[in-house]
Amino acid sequence: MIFFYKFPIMEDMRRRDYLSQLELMVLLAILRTRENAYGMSIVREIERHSEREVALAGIYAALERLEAKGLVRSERGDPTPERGGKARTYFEVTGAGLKALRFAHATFSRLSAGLTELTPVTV
Amino acid sequence: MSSARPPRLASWMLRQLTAGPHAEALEGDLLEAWRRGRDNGWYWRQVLVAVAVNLLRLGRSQGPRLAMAIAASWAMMLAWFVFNNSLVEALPSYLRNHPHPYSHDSEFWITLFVAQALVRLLIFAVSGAVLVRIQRVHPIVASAALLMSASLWRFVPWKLVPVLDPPMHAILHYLTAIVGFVVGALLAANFWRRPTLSR
Repeated sequence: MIFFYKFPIMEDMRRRDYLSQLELMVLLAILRTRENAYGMSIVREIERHSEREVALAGIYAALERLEAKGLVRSERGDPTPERGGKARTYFEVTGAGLKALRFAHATFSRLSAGLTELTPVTV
Repeated sequence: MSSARPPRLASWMLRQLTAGPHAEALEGDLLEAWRRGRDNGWYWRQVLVAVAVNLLRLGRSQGPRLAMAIAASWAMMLAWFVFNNSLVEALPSYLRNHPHPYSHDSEFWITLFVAQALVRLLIFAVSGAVLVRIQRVHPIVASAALLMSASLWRFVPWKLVPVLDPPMHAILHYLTAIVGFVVGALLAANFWRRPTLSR
């Protein structure tokens, strides 16, 4: 146990507090879509920026993990006929979620600073 | 436009094989996206991924519960096999020692056969209900897992089910067992609704 407290990064990994790439993308997509952040709008936002097809179930699995970590909170909307009477669930990033995003962003920025390999190649 | 329906089988699989706090939202999102122009291929891909994700989650979070449900269901069935076999073996010698006034009538044996079939139906119904009661989040997955676990039967050296003769008896034997199991599972699934879905 001392090993984990000596190295906070290991403690984070043990508790699965580390954010995966998908979880980071989901948090950013929620922030970008603001008050209209529900499953499909998050998928569209990630697809638009990653130019890849995204599985909605994977997004919901990530959202469940983020909710369990307290980084995201959800609220049920009203059911609509277009959705076969099923309600939307809207998501919002919590204060802890913003803090985790800022930490991840700052770490990535510092790690990638000055790396020429990451400069986009123009043909 | 809003009455259009996506592929029925895919929708059925989505309803039956997925669970979780956001299952309803997922279903609504997929329907909304399909009605706004996503094609059937996209819908199918999304449903298959959703089912796979849920099965993985089921394995992680519900694995011990699933194993317990299958074990309890098998215990009921094995209890029946043991009881039935000992009855079948003991009955002829019992009747030799304690002759029944009607034991030479065919009606006696038909009544016995029907009674045996009814008890079997009941035992298997309870077995199906026990399975669904313990694993009520995913009753269909649990039933499929139980069916797959039946393939392990051939590795059991002490086979409890005798090969029945004539074949009609065997067909009736297995038919009543399957019908009983399905009826019990369906009744239990209706009685104990899936807990994590707010449908």
